[in-house]
Amino acid sequence: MPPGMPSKKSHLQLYADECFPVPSVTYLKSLGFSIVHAFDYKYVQKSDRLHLKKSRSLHRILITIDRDFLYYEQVSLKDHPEVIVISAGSPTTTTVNEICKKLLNNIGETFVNASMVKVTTNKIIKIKDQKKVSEKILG
Amino acid sequence: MKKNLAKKENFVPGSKVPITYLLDYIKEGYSISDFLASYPWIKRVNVEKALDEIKKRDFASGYAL
Repeated sequence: MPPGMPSKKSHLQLYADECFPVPSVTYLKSLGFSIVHAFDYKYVQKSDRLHLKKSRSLHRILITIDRDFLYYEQVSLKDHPEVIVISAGSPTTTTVNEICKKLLNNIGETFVNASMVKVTTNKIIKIKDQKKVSEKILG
Repeated sequence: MKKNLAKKENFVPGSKVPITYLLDYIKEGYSISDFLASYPWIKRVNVEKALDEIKKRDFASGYAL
Protein backbone atom coordinates (compact mmCIF):
# COMPACT_ATOMS: atom_id res chain seq x y z
CA MET A 1 0.00 0.00 0.00
CA PRO A 2 1.49 3.38 -0.96
CA PRO A 3 2.47 5.61 1.96
CA GLY A 4 -0.28 7.96 3.04
CA MET A 5 -3.08 5.82 1.74
CA PRO A 6 -5.83 4.91 4.17
CA SER A 7 -5.84 1.39 5.48
CA LYS A 8 -8.52 -0.96 4.26
CA LYS A 9 -10.03 -0.63 7.72
CA SER A 10 -10.76 3.07 7.17
CA HIS A 11 -14.47 3.42 6.66
CA LEU A 12 -14.74 6.97 7.88
CA GLN A 13 -17.41 8.85 5.98
CA LEU A 14 -16.67 12.53 6.30
CA TYR A 15 -18.53 15.74 5.66
CA ALA A 16 -16.45 18.93 5.59
CA ASP A 17 -18.22 22.13 6.56
CA GLU A 18 -17.66 25.41 4.76
CA CYS A 19 -14.70 26.46 6.91
CA PHE A 20 -12.74 23.44 5.71
CA PRO A 21 -10.61 24.31 2.66
CA VAL A 22 -11.92 22.75 -0.55
CA PRO A 23 -8.42 21.75 -1.81
CA SER A 24 -7.95 19.71 1.38
CA VAL A 25 -11.07 17.74 0.50
CA THR A 26 -9.63 17.10 -2.97
CA TYR A 27 -6.36 16.01 -1.36
CA LEU A 28 -8.06 13.60 1.05
CA LYS A 29 -10.12 12.15 -1.79
CA SER A 30 -6.88 11.56 -3.70
CA LEU A 31 -5.65 9.55 -0.71
CA GLY A 32 -8.76 7.39 -0.92
CA PHE A 33 -10.84 8.85 1.89
CA SER A 34 -14.59 9.25 1.53
CA ILE A 35 -15.21 12.93 2.06
CA VAL A 36 -17.67 15.45 0.70
CA HIS A 37 -17.65 19.21 1.12
CA ALA A 38 -20.62 21.41 1.93
CA PHE A 39 -19.88 23.23 -1.32
CA ASP A 40 -20.58 19.99 -3.25
CA TYR A 41 -24.17 20.44 -2.08
CA LYS A 42 -24.12 24.24 -2.52
CA TYR A 43 -24.59 24.22 1.22
CA VAL A 44 -22.66 27.33 2.17
CA GLN A 45 -23.47 30.41 4.23
CA LYS A 46 -25.17 28.09 6.67
CA SER A 47 -24.97 28.03 10.43
CA ASP A 48 -22.95 25.46 12.36
CA ARG A 49 -26.20 23.92 13.52
CA LEU A 50 -27.27 23.35 9.92
CA HIS A 51 -23.94 21.78 9.06
CA LEU A 52 -24.40 19.40 11.97
CA LYS A 53 -27.85 18.52 10.67
CA LYS A 54 -26.57 18.08 7.14
CA SER A 55 -23.77 15.76 8.17
CA ARG A 56 -26.19 13.73 10.23
CA SER A 57 -28.60 13.44 7.33
CA LEU A 58 -25.73 12.23 5.16
CA HIS A 59 -24.59 9.81 7.89
CA ARG A 60 -21.15 11.37 7.78
CA ILE A 61 -18.80 12.59 10.48
CA LEU A 62 -18.49 16.35 10.49
CA ILE A 63 -14.90 17.48 10.02
CA THR A 64 -14.14 21.14 10.54
CA ILE A 65 -11.43 23.62 11.38
CA ASP A 66 -14.01 25.83 13.08
CA ARG A 67 -13.02 25.77 16.73
CA ASP A 68 -16.37 27.20 17.76
CA PHE A 69 -17.54 23.60 17.84
CA LEU A 70 -15.31 22.98 20.82
CA TYR A 71 -17.32 25.45 22.86
CA TYR A 72 -20.78 24.17 22.18
CA GLU A 73 -22.48 22.71 25.15
CA GLN A 74 -22.54 18.97 25.02
CA VAL A 75 -26.32 18.93 24.97
CA SER A 76 -26.20 20.65 21.61
CA LEU A 77 -24.29 17.74 20.17
CA LYS A 78 -26.39 15.10 21.86
CA ASP A 79 -28.10 14.10 18.64
CA HIS A 80 -24.95 14.39 16.61
CA PRO A 81 -21.87 13.76 18.66
CA GLU A 82 -19.57 12.73 15.87
CA VAL A 83 -17.47 15.77 15.19
CA ILE A 84 -13.77 16.13 14.40
CA VAL A 85 -12.31 19.55 15.06
CA ILE A 86 -8.88 20.35 13.65
CA SER A 87 -7.43 22.80 16.12
CA ALA A 88 -3.84 23.16 15.12
CA GLY A 89 -1.42 25.41 13.36
CA SER A 90 -3.16 27.50 10.78
CA PRO A 91 -6.29 27.20 8.63
CA THR A 92 -4.27 27.05 5.41
CA THR A 93 -4.55 24.12 3.06
CA THR A 94 -0.99 22.91 3.60
CA THR A 95 -1.38 22.68 7.37
CA VAL A 96 -4.83 21.12 7.18
CA ASN A 97 -3.57 18.53 4.68
CA GLU A 98 -0.64 17.55 6.87
CA ILE A 99 -2.72 17.17 10.00
CA CYS A 100 -5.57 15.33 8.30
CA LYS A 101 -3.21 12.86 6.72
CA LYS A 102 -1.72 12.00 10.09
CA LEU A 103 -5.08 12.06 11.85
CA LEU A 104 -7.09 9.92 9.52
CA ASN A 105 -4.47 7.21 9.42
CA ASN A 106 -4.55 7.11 13.22
CA ILE A 107 -8.24 6.80 13.97
CA GLY A 108 -11.03 4.46 13.03
CA GLU A 109 -14.79 4.70 13.13
CA THR A 110 -14.95 3.26 16.63
CA PHE A 111 -12.63 5.96 17.98
CA VAL A 112 -14.82 8.73 16.64
CA ASN A 113 -18.13 7.13 17.49
CA ALA A 114 -20.33 9.14 19.85
CA SER A 115 -17.69 11.68 20.65
CA MET A 116 -16.02 14.89 19.71
CA VAL A 117 -12.43 14.58 18.61
CA LYS A 118 -10.10 17.52 18.96
CA VAL A 119 -6.94 17.35 16.91
CA THR A 120 -3.92 19.47 17.78
CA THR A 121 -0.53 19.50 16.08
CA ASN A 122 0.59 16.41 17.97
CA LYS A 123 -2.39 14.96 19.78
CA ILE A 124 -5.82 13.48 19.18
CA ILE A 125 -8.10 14.09 22.12
CA LYS A 126 -11.39 12.29 22.42
CA ILE A 127 -14.04 14.19 24.38
CA LYS A 128 -17.27 12.70 25.64
CA ASP A 129 -19.77 14.50 27.82
CA GLN A 130 -17.31 17.38 27.98
CA LYS A 131 -14.66 15.17 29.53
CA LYS A 132 -11.44 14.01 28.01
CA VAL A 133 -11.74 10.25 27.73
CA SER A 134 -8.62 9.43 25.79
CA GLU A 135 -5.63 10.93 24.13
CA LYS A 136 -3.36 9.65 21.40
CA ILE A 137 -0.09 11.06 20.22
CA LEU A 138 -0.14 11.84 16.50
CA GLY A 139 2.66 9.89 14.90
CA MET B 1 -26.78 26.02 20.61
CA LYS B 2 -24.71 28.10 22.96
CA LYS B 3 -21.13 29.04 22.52
CA ASN B 4 -18.91 31.48 24.21
CA LEU B 5 -16.30 32.71 21.80
CA ALA B 6 -17.83 33.13 18.39
CA LYS B 7 -18.19 36.57 16.93
CA LYS B 8 -20.00 35.68 13.82
CA GLU B 9 -20.11 39.22 12.52
CA ASN B 10 -16.46 38.78 11.63
CA PHE B 11 -16.96 36.79 8.45
CA VAL B 12 -15.70 37.48 4.97
CA PRO B 13 -18.78 39.08 3.38
CA GLY B 14 -21.01 36.61 1.61
CA SER B 15 -19.69 33.67 3.59
CA LYS B 16 -19.39 32.10 7.00
CA VAL B 17 -15.60 32.02 6.73
CA PRO B 18 -13.94 34.07 9.47
CA ILE B 19 -11.93 37.09 8.36
CA THR B 20 -9.13 35.83 10.61
CA TYR B 21 -8.62 32.88 8.22
CA LEU B 22 -7.92 35.37 5.44
CA LEU B 23 -5.48 37.14 7.73
CA ASP B 24 -3.68 33.87 8.43
CA TYR B 25 -3.38 33.12 4.71
CA ILE B 26 -1.82 36.52 4.11
CA LYS B 27 0.52 36.27 7.09
CA GLU B 28 1.78 32.92 5.87
CA GLY B 29 2.52 34.27 2.42
CA TYR B 30 -0.44 32.87 0.54
CA SER B 31 -2.16 34.94 -2.13
CA ILE B 32 -5.74 36.06 -2.39
CA SER B 33 -6.12 33.55 -5.21
CA ASP B 34 -5.03 30.77 -2.84
CA PHE B 35 -7.68 31.87 -0.39
CA LEU B 36 -10.29 31.98 -3.15
CA ALA B 37 -9.27 28.49 -4.23
CA SER B 38 -9.92 27.27 -0.71
CA TYR B 39 -13.33 28.92 -0.58
CA PRO B 40 -14.47 29.10 -4.22
CA TRP B 41 -17.94 30.48 -3.49
CA ILE B 42 -16.43 33.68 -2.09
CA LYS B 43 -16.17 36.52 -4.58
CA ARG B 44 -12.95 38.46 -4.93
CA VAL B 45 -14.81 41.71 -4.31
CA ASN B 46 -15.86 40.39 -0.92
CA VAL B 47 -12.28 39.46 -0.07
CA GLU B 48 -11.33 43.02 -0.92
CA LYS B 49 -14.05 44.25 1.44
CA ALA B 50 -12.66 41.96 4.15
CA LEU B 51 -9.17 43.34 3.55
CA ASP B 52 -10.55 46.85 4.04
CA GLU B 53 -12.11 45.66 7.27
CA ILE B 54 -8.78 44.22 8.42
CA LYS B 55 -7.17 47.62 7.80
CA LYS B 56 -9.88 49.43 9.73
CA ARG B 57 -10.04 47.08 12.67
CA ASP B 58 -7.55 45.43 14.94
CA PHE B 59 -7.89 41.85 13.85
CA ALA B 60 -5.63 39.32 15.45
CA SER B 61 -4.89 36.00 13.87
CA GLY B 62 -7.73 33.87 15.07
CA TYR B 63 -6.18 30.56 14.45
CA ALA B 64 -2.53 30.28 15.27
CA LEU B 65 -2.94 30.56 19.00
